[in-house]
Amino acid sequence: MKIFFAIFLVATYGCVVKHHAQFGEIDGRGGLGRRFEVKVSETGVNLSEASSVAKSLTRSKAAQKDIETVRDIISMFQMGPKTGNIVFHDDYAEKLLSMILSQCSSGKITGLSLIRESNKYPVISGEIVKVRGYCKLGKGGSSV
Amino acid sequence: MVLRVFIFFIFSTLCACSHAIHLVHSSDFSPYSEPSIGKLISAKTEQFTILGFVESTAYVDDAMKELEKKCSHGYINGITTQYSTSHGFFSWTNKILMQGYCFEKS
Repeated sequence: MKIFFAIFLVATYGCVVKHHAQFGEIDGRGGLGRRFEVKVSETGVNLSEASSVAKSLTRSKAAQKDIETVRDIISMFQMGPKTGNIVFHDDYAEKLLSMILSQCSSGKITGLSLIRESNKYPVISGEIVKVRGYCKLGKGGSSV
Repeated sequence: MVLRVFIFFIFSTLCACSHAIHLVHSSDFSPYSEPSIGKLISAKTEQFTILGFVESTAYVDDAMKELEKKCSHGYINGITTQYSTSHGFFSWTNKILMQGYCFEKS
């Protein structure tokens, strides 16, 4: 029963946190065109929650103290402003422009919205950059 | 003892260089141009900060100037700007990455 409850809790736990949203101009002349969405994400880690989980795995006071010490040492190496949880690669959004244009090779992009958000789970999270927009019809009537 | 080594190993892997992307912004794509006739250009600048004391305060302007320089005889379309931070030992580096498509005047 306890295991079922734990699995249910983990499976249903999830929270989306918006950090930043941006909207561009909307050119409705001749119709908006085809809607597209591009999403890039990277796994984030919450060090504080990770240490709490590690502490709960042992009853030894000495081990718990060690975990706290290690956590404090690591946090000294991870100083600076944070948005969402930390990630171990910062190049995951670098291909965003190419990905947007691959969705609309005519380049007639309008109604662009960019959202930076976190999908939070216990210990880890998905650090997401999401782009939505419309690809207007090209000269030949194609929207690609 | 085994548990201590395991904990140290797990946390040491988390000690690797960490980063945070704060925001990604994109300009509009008008006037519309076919990307195939343009050239992808990018500019990256950084600001090193130690305990809150900053090295350079004009790093965003520098990125813009660098991007302009790479397309001095044309126009730049669809500029995306990524603002992120790489964390370090009592210090961090703020980074700006600007990308865009340069269309030379014909």
